[in-house]
Amino acid sequence: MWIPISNRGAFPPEVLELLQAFHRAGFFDEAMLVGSWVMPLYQQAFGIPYILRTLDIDFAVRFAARERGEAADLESVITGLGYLPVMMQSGIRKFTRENFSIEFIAHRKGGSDDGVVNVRKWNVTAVPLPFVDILLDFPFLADFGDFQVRAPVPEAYLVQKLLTARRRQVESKKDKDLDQCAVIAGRLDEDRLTQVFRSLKLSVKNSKALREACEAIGFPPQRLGLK
Amino acid sequence: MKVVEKDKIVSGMLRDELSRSEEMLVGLRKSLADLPRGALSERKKRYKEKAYSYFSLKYRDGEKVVNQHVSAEQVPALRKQLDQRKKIEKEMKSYQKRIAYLSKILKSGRG
Repeated sequence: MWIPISNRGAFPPEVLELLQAFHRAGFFDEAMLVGSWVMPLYQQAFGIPYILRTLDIDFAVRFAARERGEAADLESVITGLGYLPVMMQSGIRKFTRENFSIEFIAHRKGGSDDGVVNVRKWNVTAVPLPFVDILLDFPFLADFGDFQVRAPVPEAYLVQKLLTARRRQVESKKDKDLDQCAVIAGRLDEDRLTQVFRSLKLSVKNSKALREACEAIGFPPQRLGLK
Repeated sequence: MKVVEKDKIVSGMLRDELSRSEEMLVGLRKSLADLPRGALSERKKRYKEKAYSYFSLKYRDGEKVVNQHVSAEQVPALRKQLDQRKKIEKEMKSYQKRIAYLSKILKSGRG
């Protein structure tokens, strides 16, 4: 899905600069913008209003143990913009410039407990998190004319957030996720929602978690196909 | 009523931002540990119509001021490291300011 976006003022200059650099590096050919910075895109593309932003930006990358093909050295792209690489205590390498930080996430397969994955293809490290594949499998392309940004469709973002809400260890992050979900839930496309839900193979435990999260935001679980 | 009391989401985001800033500060501090400190200075000397440059790294070690000789080959790499140190210190200052600001807001919200 491709959506033209005319208002690039949706992003502050530092974010715009970063997205343009990632586009030039070919990053958005397969990876995507995730986290709360997708909300300005949702506002422009789907009319979903949400004004709260964080000072960190997340990107989701595909990770394969044996990666083929060469891609850009994203670390050089980022440090070329004046960001500093910082090794965190967890072992993840983040980047920071004037209080604004960049982080990468990847899909974590069930049972895996890797703390950090090394995404050699892009020369970055990523935090493996559950259900990131839902985001990566249902993208749309926001077209700003001279550059494009890949992001998950709102329905995939909603389902991923609802599924992970109960796993959030920090209560405030869970509240923020559910707050975003409540706003997105008001502007859903039923066909896309059905497609996303049908792609899932949920365990009883995850179905229960999804139902609880739906109830927390007053969203009928039946709309997701849950009985 | 204070802003942070009004909205659970906003106050939560402020707390998350405080903890993100603190974690980043720890990471930045760790990055500094591997970098040399001090200032690079160059002394020029003339001997029999020829000019020679001598480089040294001047830094404080407790009470003492140390002048460590640096070979000309080491200078480019050392300059780069000292520059990186400056950038990290600048970034650390901005996080320290932010931490102080956020702590103040959250404290006043509780009060």
